[in-house]
Amino acid sequence: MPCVFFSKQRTKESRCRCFAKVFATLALGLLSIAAKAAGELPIEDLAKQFRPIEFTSRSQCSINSSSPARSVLIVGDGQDAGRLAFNLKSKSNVDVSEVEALTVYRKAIGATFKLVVERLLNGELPLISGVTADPEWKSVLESCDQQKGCAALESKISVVWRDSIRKSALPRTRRAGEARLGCHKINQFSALHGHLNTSRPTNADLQEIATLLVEPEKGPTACDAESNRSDRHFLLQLDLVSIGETSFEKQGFDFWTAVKTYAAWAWRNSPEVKASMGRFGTLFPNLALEEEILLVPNGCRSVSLPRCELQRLSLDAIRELAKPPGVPSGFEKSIPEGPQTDLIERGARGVNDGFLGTRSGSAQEWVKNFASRFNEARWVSRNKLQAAIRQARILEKLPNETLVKDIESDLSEFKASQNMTLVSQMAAVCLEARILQDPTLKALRPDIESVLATGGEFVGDINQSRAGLQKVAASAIDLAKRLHPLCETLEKSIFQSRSTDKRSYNWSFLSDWARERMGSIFAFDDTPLLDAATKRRGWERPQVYLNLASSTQAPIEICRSPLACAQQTFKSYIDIYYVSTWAAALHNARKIKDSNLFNPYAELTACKIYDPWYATDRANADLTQRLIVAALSAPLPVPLYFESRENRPKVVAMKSSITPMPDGNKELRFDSQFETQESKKTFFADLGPITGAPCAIQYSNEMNVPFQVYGISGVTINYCSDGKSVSSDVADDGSSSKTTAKHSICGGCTANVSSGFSVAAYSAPPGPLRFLFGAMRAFSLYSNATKDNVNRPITYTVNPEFVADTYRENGKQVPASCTDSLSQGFRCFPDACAAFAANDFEQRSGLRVRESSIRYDGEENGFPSEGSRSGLVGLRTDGCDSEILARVRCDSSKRTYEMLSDYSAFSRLCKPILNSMKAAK
Amino acid sequence: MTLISLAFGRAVAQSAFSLLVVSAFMPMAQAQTSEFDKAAPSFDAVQAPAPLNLFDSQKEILASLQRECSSDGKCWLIGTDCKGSSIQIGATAGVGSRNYSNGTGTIINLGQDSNDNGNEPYYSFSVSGRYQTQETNLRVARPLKVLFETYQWAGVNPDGSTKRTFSPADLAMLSFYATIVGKLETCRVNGQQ
Repeated sequence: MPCVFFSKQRTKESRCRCFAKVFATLALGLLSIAAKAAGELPIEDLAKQFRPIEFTSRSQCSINSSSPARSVLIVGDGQDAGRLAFNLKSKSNVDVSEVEALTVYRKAIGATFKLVVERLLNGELPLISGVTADPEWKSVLESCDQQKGCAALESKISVVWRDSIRKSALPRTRRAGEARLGCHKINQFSALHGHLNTSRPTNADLQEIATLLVEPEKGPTACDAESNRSDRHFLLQLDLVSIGETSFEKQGFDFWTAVKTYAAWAWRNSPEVKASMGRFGTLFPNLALEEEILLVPNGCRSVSLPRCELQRLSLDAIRELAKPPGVPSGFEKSIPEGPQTDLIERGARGVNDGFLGTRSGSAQEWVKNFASRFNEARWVSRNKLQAAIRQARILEKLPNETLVKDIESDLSEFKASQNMTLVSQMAAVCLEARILQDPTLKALRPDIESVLATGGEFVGDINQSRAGLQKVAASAIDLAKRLHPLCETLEKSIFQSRSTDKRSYNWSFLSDWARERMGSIFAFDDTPLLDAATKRRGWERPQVYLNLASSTQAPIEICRSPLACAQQTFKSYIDIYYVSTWAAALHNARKIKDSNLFNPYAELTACKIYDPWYATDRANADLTQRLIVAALSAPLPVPLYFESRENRPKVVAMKSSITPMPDGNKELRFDSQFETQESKKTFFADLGPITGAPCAIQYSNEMNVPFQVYGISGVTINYCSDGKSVSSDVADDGSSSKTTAKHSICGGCTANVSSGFSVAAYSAPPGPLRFLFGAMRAFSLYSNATKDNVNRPITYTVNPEFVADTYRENGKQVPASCTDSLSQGFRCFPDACAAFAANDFEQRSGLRVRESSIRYDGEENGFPSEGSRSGLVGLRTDGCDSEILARVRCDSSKRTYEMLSDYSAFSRLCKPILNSMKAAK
Repeated sequence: MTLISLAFGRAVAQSAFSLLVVSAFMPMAQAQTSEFDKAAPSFDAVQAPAPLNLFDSQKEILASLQRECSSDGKCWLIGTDCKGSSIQIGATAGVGSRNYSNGTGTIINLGQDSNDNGNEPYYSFSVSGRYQTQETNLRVARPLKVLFETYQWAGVNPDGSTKRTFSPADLAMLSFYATIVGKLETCRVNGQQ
């Protein structure tokens, strides 16, 4: 049990333990912490430490992505802490266990965030960005981005931190509804994370939430508490409870920026955090917190505002690594197309359907899978970076001019025409050079130049190498250009194809990245694949071309031949591109990373690929149009029907632009390129009244438009002719623009063999009746469109506190009748509208409503209960002996609620309550 | 021929392109020498057949440009045509009222049966035929067309055979061609587009 200082339910025993802990803390001299603890408000039950859970539809999830997260998960991997303990034990003979180190480590991370977030919520630490921040922060942060040291930022933070220690030590009384933090360790995925798995909570979900919160042995534990489970991989959850929603909506992103910056500083420098690390206090601060954890919004909202920019997209692409092993991602490619291209290819997809495997099971296992894939990708990328840096050092000694000359002299010296391995490697080098630089073959490579021009930030962990890497990249292109004349000559001689079956060379030395790029072409290549080491070595030149000489050891072979050197240079160029593409995701250790793991619509919305309001807007436009058409065609002798429907423009490509940032870095931003699609037009005429037979025709500028006209008994014969003509103009970089012409012409008649009625008898006659028919159809289709639960914004909110109260008050279960009001975020009352009024009253008065009922206007006359209704609500609360009344208007199908009047009561006892509410208002 | 058509064939099933290559061999069989032939001998004892006479291939390329380029500077590269037909037979039967509106917005149910609201049995039987044609064309800028044509002709020997191996430049072109042709919309008759 955690040390709860003023818990209502604490036992004698736990009180003793608590005091022991307090004294231990005091003994350590941490007066500030103790003082803080003394001023803390009584910790209440678990249910009050979680934010209301938001269940959203796809469209709502997309809208929420531009709003700051109120609940955030910290994904942590204790690998480095465990290794540290292991090394201490095995190499330095210190008596320490990995389990102990991992637990202390996890608790310290929890304590760091708790400390920082609480001080920010209490206003003891200032925000460092946004309108309310001291302008000095801006210049400090910018200078920090330019110089790697960040000394100015560190000293500025230490000043405000000292100030925050002083402020937090002051005695203060806290109000009940004040902003607070819930910090928990998640052991098991459950209905508490139901919003990641479904867009609408069920009664079973509510029941599960209540059980977890009311019966503490089953639920989550405090993030800085002891636990008997492994802490190798862990998932912590931060919930900002009772915060001012309106102001947080404006300042939330700045809030999280501050959390990330302060937490990284506090981890290294704050005395409070150091104390929480116990005897690891001198060791753990050396582990870079930025490398160890990832912040993930717990739901659809975001920690950083999503933007359609390479590095932000790269961070969000980490999501692919949270999928089960074996699901391929752009991180596994040698030459990634880039997250922007993957985004278009994957297109619209499911969300909040447990797509990352969060329905059930151990959270540790989930983090383990994710962390191992993530770490693997990071190591691959780090190795690429290291190799490229090594290449930079070699290049200093080996100019391209010399290299090309040596290649040429090798060709003649070693009789290329009779040396199959030499020619083969030469062919590989020529092909690679062509892919990298041939100006006409742009479609063969991604936009490497733009990515490299902006990838400056990626070497944050290795100082001074940035210029070196830029040099390797420039040198590789220079080499490819210099090789061009030689390759052109060889095209006409050594590479000249034969009509005989003799092959003078094969593709065995072609690099993996080039093979990946050429894709299907090599499906026909029957050359046996060489193992990696042989391939890297290239042809067996009699003497080694480039050695790393050493006076003490045998020389280390760098390139067996000049051709091998050239291939290594090309490989470095590709590696630098890879590293730059995924820089934000896999490198850049100067900031704590955050990724929108659970909401792919963050990027889809930021890049304008998905429009959350599209379905809503279209349903409204369709209704208007159908009503107009119905009115216009009503007086005509023949029932005519016309419909035009806008097709949403499709994103086909991303246009990139390099934008300089205020901190001196550059960004690669993307703009969606839309392919406008012609609006779908359908024209229909019922020829029945003219022909006397039930026949109709239809024309549409789409293909495969359904034609199914008469719903009458009989034999129907329909015939359609569809045509489509597409013309694509492709540019040399592979981008294309399309023009498409489509049509569908249909005709059909029904012969009713059972009776001799003509169609005229069936179709509505011209005039008001026909209009009525058309209008009814329009409304019925509109009503269908509003039932779209995926593409229209819908939110269900569940307040864990209310669910837990309902559970306790109803004999350990959540009645089915409560599901409706509980999933609107209200307390359980039989009517959702009454529940809304009770919720409004509670929020304004701070008092608990015991009963709430409603009488709708006209209810006694048996009026229908659909649509918008108003009524009188009666509430009962403690300390007031009569009903408190108010008028409300609600529409339960649209889920809109509105208070129409102030609260009033007949009893004098209630007056102070109502007056205090008015005063607060 | 086999290799070229294989490599191209993947991306361009039933394309007119491979036909073009086949038909082009015949008149070229008499061409004699090549400049490449002179440059090459030191590398191979076996005499390589000369590629198509540069002048002849240039003529072919020009002819093809005249034939396949339009005034807007774009040239036809490749295309597919397909057509197909289908017949759907359906039947419904039941008793009582029928709800025809299924809300997809494209199906119109104007008719109203006299028996609609009654409890009487109804039936309907329908035969729907559909005929579809689809034509897709891929066009490129003139320089690209020239590039492709040049490489195409360079791959043809005067005796009608084609190259057995691809040089680095050929491979790069093939891959480039496959990338461009990947933009061609494939025919999907009877399916949703």
